[in-house]
Amino acid sequence: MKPFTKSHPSDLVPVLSDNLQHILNLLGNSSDIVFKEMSLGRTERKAVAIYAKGMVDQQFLLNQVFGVISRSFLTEVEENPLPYSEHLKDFTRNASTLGDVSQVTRADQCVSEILAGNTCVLFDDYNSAIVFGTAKDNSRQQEEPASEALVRGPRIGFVEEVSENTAILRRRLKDPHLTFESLFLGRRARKEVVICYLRDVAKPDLVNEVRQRIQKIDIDDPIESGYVENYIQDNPFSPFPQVQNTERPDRVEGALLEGRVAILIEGTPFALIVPVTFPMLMQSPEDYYDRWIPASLIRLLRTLALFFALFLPALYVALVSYHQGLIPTKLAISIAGTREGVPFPTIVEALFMEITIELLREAGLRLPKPVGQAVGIVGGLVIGQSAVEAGIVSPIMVIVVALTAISSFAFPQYPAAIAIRLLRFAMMLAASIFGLYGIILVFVLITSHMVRLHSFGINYAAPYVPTRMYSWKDLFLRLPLQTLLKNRPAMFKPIDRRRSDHPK
Amino acid sequence: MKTNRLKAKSRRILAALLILSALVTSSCWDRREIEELGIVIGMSVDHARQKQQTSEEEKQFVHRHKKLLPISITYQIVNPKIIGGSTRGNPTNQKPYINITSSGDTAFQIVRETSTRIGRPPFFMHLKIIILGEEVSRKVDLTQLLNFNLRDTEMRRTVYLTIADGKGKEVLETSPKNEDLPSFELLSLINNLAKTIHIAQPISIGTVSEHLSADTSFCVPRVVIHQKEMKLAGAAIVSGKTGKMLGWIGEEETAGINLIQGTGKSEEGHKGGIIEAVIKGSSEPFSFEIGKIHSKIIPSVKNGQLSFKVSIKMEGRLGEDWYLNEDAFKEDYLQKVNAAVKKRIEEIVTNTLKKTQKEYRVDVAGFGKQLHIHNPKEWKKRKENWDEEFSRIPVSLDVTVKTEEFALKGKKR
Amino acid sequence: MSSLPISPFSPIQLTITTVSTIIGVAILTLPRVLAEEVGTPDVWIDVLLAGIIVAITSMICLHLSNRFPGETFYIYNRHIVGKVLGALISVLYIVNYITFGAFEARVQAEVVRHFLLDETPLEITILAFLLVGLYLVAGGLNAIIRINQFYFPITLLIVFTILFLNWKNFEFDNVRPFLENGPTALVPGIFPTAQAFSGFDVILFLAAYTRNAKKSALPLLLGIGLVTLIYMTIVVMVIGSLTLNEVATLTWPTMEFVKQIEFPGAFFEHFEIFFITVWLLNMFTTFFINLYLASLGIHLLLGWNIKLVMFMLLPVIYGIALFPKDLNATLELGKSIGFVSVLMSTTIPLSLLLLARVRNLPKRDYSLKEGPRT
Repeated sequence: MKPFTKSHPSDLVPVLSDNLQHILNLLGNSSDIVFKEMSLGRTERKAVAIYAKGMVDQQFLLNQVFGVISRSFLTEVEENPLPYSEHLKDFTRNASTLGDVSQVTRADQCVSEILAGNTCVLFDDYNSAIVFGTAKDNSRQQEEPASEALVRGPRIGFVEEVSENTAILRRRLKDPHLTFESLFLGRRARKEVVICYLRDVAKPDLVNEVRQRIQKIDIDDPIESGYVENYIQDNPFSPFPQVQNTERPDRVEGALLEGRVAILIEGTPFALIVPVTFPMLMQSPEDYYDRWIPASLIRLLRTLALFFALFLPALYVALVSYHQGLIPTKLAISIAGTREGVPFPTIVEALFMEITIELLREAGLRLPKPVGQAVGIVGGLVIGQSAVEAGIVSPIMVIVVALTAISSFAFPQYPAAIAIRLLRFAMMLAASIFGLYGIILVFVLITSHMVRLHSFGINYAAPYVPTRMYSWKDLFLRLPLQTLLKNRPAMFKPIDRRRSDHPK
Repeated sequence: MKTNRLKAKSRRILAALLILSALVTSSCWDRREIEELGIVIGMSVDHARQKQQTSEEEKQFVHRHKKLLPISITYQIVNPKIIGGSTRGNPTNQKPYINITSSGDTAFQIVRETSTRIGRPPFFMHLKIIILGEEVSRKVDLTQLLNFNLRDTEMRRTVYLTIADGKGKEVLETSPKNEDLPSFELLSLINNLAKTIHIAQPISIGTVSEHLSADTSFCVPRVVIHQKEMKLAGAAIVSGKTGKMLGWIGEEETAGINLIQGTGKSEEGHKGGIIEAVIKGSSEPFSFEIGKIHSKIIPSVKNGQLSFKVSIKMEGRLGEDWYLNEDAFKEDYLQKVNAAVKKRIEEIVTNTLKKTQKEYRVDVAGFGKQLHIHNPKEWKKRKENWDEEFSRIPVSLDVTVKTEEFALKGKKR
Repeated sequence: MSSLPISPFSPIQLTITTVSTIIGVAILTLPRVLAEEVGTPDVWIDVLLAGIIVAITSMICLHLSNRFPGETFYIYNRHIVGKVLGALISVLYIVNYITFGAFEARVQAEVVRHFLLDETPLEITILAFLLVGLYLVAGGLNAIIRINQFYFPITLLIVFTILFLNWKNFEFDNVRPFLENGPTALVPGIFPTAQAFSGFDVILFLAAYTRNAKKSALPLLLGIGLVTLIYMTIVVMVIGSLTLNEVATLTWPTMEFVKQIEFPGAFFEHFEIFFITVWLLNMFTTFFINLYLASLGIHLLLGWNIKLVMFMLLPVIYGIALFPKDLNATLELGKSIGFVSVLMSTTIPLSLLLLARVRNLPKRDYSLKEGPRT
């Protein structure tokens, strides 16, 4: 069923009861829809206001809408004996001082206005409805996003209201070239999706591509930004996220200035940013707020974390069950000592511990915060300790797994961490079959996949590959802003390359 | 169209998963857990006593091989239960190692023979040191003896080689002092060259192989066992031609070779130590601590006559002085010290050259290599029988000693 | 006729691909080959001479390709020598690339057997190598170019770190004396060394897709200079730390050289794990381009779907890789491939270039705007 097509005649007729019946049919018998009847002054004629309870600003409704209607008809009808319909038109014109007032002539339009929180007033013998913009601003307090906490940086996050989010961006970036393009998405939900970009920076091809991909989406309700992400990504079978999501306006702001495109979706505080590449997912806005030396060191640390999170358990498995000669002798002896009596091969031990950690993480995530912490402590300490004491795993394995888990928490963006978690298991399995050779094979596969993958026309490994040496100053290191902010990253091919005036 | 592509892709992924699962379920050919290995740290090679052939079968086996000298190899295997992991502290009074001896004709065969007697077969990637018995090194070419150690992929070329005065096995049975295993103890002894020049420069089997393939003779550190204690003293001389050990040189001759070779740049090659000498006109000794040794061997040909000059430049400090009339604050006293050390060094080196040139008739200090570098034509004429030639070539010395300091006290009063 | 789209790449990318293709098996065996063939410690001069010869030849290849901008060698050779002979030359190159790819797969399996997996059958390691290689090659030429760029910095970093760490084992005396048998004694070493550079002729095929192919000369010369430097340093260091006589006795002298780095007590006591990784990555990069160019040749010659050709070539390569019955046969195969490859990459481009000059080709007007023709 398609409620919003012209499948049945829905033009309003000058009969109030018919119109009411028509709208009632469209809306169904919903308990939150209020039909409020009122008489117009001392005339015989009636008007009915229809609105959705809870969605309208009750104060505004009582004081302004009802007040104005009854007052104007009380006095003016008697004094100015204009014909009724003329009077209504006149009223509509005057009422526009009240704010958002408009006329609609179709029942389905009425319904969508009502569902958007506006109030529809139907009059006797009148073939259109007057709509008052009474939608309540329901947005919550802007808080610091929990998923992307920073030590230093703005304490503001997006909210569920898309208009509020565009306002946040507009307030932060007062550039007339900042452009918002609204699209509506969802057969049923009609959610507003806003594409935003800097008109004189972002490559037009990129903006067109984003617009086209969003327009192609055929879905009844994009509940969260994830729905949109799933439909617009390049390769749905890739383990890597090809669209960045964020709750932080500063991150979006930075992306816009680089010539990327952000997508805001009604009903979720998560904005999407495209294109994104893997090295970008390893960066945090804070890298740019800190001084460059600590920021560079933190980037190197994250590179190490990436290495650990991806390779450590696999390397442990490969070294302990295949290439024992590559371990330093004394360490080899002590690993052999701790594994003495462990009944399983290293891979089983590693999988057991890794899966336990994943379970703990999942359990801690879903529970309320205080309980979650307790689960973490109970799980981490008790299971680790007793598994070692029971001789199921070796203490060194526990260290390896813990280090891996901590490393994967060090990722500044969650989706990247999930991808790496997934690949880590592939690495471990390969290591259990082919040892180090297996790890190398999987590494070649992952890198092959990475160089084959694109996000909106940008290679996924950029700017590491294709190599642009001058982009490397913002890759493993973050050099001083004075050198970084001269030009925008070339890989997005922005229209306006230069970020600041500098002698060429 | 898109769904078709998705279908094709999912089919491909399914195929990949199938292959993966096939691989997982199939056996993993090389997997063996670390605790299933017998980690060998040290091994010794000895001459095996001819054992009595008990069965007809064994007799036949022996006759198949014409070689008369079977070898016996002892592996020192770590017992990680005792020294590794959480149970440290040795509650059971077990030894932290297991010594296991097997005999046979070839090294590889002996390794496999060991697996019939010990559950965890020897694993050699952590082998650190090889000790050869005296008898076997005198009788068998080291090229053959070490062939397995240089060839097998499980082996490293960085394994150190020593020759025991007696049986190699006895070294592995001594009681270690600092370390858990006798092999580790010997390993740290070998690296003490910076403390004394009376032990030979550590030599790895890789270097041995380099010498053997170039037919140059070399020294191997000697291990002496006395009442279940080991000591490094002197060196064995191995002929590059035959690959067999020729004989021993003592601590002082070893020092002489170290002096001729000078300080290498590698850490193991760093040489230090003490030279004791007596000042002219005194009867009390003093100790001179070696700081740096710069040595050079310079070949020269005059009128068709080849000769070598060894130039040794030494710096060091006066470390101890028993002479009651010492006055190190005076420059001419230090000159006297220098002269005394110089005389002592000349003595040591001359004795060493006499022993190697006249008694063993070999070149173990690299004279041939220097000739090759500086005078390739002359070298080509003589290289075929170099050791023999060398014993007839005169060597002159040019020693300079410099006392750099005398530490915190310089005279009696 | 379905082909994979190719977008043009830069001269630097061309250079990195050429360098990655050259570096392969030879890095492990070159010191032994030279020690056997020449037998003096100054063989590094041979590497230098071979490097110069290869640099000149590569310039000939580039020059020839630049006469036919936007066309790959498989296409333009028929303009010069006619359709039949051109096809014959193409087939020669295709066969060369197929056998070369098979050799790569086999040698990596032999090395893996020696240093990583003792018991795992060669059939399995070769198969795994080929399948993993196919995944990337199916992504087309640009993916290959990018992955070369991916591994290139890693390779340089690890190789030079390893050389640096081995400094304390290096003895200068071992690489002396210099020119003891006179310069003529070095001549027999030049040809075997040139084989170590085989693979540089990919320029013939790739220059067509290069933006500003005319400006590729300098980067290419620098790239070949870099390979020469790496080879020379390795030869000098390996001979300097293992001695010439010893190097001649070792199967993989460079591996032994790497294995002797030892830092007792450090977190990494040994460093061969990094070297093996980097070496295998470079075997992959060489294999990628071999498989791709062989498939491209067949695709252009017969018009078959290029992905299908790749799939069909895989069993062929697998069969050839399993053909040599032992290590000696494998190394022997490598020698003959190297011989043919050097012969081809020196004589064919030169004679074609001369022929093109004599016939004053090309007569057709090639404009760069048309973009690459495949």
